Amino acid sequence: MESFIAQLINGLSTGGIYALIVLGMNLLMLVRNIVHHSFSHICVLNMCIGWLAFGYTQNVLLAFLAMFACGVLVTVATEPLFRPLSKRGADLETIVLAMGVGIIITEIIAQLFNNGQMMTFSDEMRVLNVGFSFGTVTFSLANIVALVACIVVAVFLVWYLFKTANGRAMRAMAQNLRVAKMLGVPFGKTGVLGFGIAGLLSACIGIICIMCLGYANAEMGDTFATKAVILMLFAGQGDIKGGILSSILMGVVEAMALAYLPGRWTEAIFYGFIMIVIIIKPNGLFAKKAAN
Amino acid sequence: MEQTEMMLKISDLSVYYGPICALKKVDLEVRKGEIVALLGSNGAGKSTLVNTIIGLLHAKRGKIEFMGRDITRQKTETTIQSGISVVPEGRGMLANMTVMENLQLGVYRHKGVDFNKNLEMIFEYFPILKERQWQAAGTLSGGEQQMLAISRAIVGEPKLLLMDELSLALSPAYVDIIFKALIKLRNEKGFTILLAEQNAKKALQYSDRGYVLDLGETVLEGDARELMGNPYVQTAYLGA
Repeated sequence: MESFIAQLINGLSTGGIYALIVLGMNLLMLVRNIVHHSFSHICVLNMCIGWLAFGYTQNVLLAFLAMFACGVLVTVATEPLFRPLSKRGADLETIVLAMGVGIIITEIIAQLFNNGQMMTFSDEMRVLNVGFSFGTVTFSLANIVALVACIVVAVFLVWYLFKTANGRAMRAMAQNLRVAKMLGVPFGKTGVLGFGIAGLLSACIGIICIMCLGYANAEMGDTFATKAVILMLFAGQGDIKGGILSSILMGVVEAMALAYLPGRWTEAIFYGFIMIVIIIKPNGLFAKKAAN
Repeated sequence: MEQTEMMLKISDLSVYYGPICALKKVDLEVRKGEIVALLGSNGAGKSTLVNTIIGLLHAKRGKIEFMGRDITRQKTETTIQSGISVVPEGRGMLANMTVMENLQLGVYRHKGVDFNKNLEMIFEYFPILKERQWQAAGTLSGGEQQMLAISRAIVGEPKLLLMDELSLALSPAYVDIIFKALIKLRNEKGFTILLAEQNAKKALQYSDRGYVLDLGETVLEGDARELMGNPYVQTAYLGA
């Protein structure tokens, strides 16, 4: 039972990280109708920048600040790439473009950071990496903090999208760009705003990953990206709440498979489950009936 | 009539889709408080004109002035902010968003208006919207959606309302309800309205003046009553 609880918390916090990545990609989907495959690469780049900044300054706060700056700058810098494609309603091209950005970031990390070696983060950077005991099992406080942080960030973003004028404008753009423009929603500015918020989110994800995982390497972006894209499809593209729920569900399923199934069956179960859902519900697990 | 303030003045406006001319040297005037009908069959250029006024399409030649200011090359959001609202063709519902959210988006660019007061006024005109305010807009009936589209356009207290095909896909009974509400709003709130309509009979019945567009050119203009009696309009648009 204790180990079950430990696994559950583990799974929830992994699921929380997935949820934030999917949330970020859904946000970008809203404002530019793109699948920003490289969003998770930006999150990993943030981690690397944090590692570098901490190496130079030995100051956790400065390192985190550098991560926020990197996240916002890099994410917003990709907006002009997508704008012309988004304007003409391109579909596949945007995926290719986003993958290209991801590959470039992966290469940059491999070439420029720590000679391509894995970067491990010091205990100062991991802030709350203290184990604590619960009966016979010990688990990391970082996992619980990560979970709480995910909830706080996700609640804030959902609030932003559903309760503020700019959030509503972003959702309106996703539903009907022509009508959104007729209501006076500026295509350019709202998009940049969305990318900026996604950038802030990418830094939060980087920090949470540092706390939970404690390392970063060039390949991490790809691993996250594949899962995030699949989870997006799984929940239904642009479905904000569905994306969060399915990500958390997936994190838990993964953790349980890892703990209770023989061998390394995690991935097979992860993708098997998703394949079935995509076959049965092509518009996503949480897709509503199309409103007429 | 000469003394009343000019709301919208379009002169010598030409718009092209690539090599195809969609509007050719169109002149049009709308004065404050007027309801002006813009008539024409499908493809005559009515929607093109509406979209060009708000800057979704760009004019090749000509000039659009709104309250004396040149808005020909202005960005859509700036034009909306300066006091023009649109009821889009096909109602333009944000179907998955609630009725309330649709209305809130109506004031996105109209900062400084009293949303709650206007909301009360709208719920008085269209009580059904109050009942349905938390429903997704896509679940409303066609007539209710048109009410919502109008409400969303007027909640920001625009000076000029552009209505694109208000009567499209509505039952005749609803068309009358909608038009009567519009007249009442105009009389009480002093809106100025440009009405792009295929349904010439209804449009002329409820407007002050009218323009007839054909293949992108203005072929007729005048008093609504005169146009209704005009033999060309009768044969071409009123089916007489």
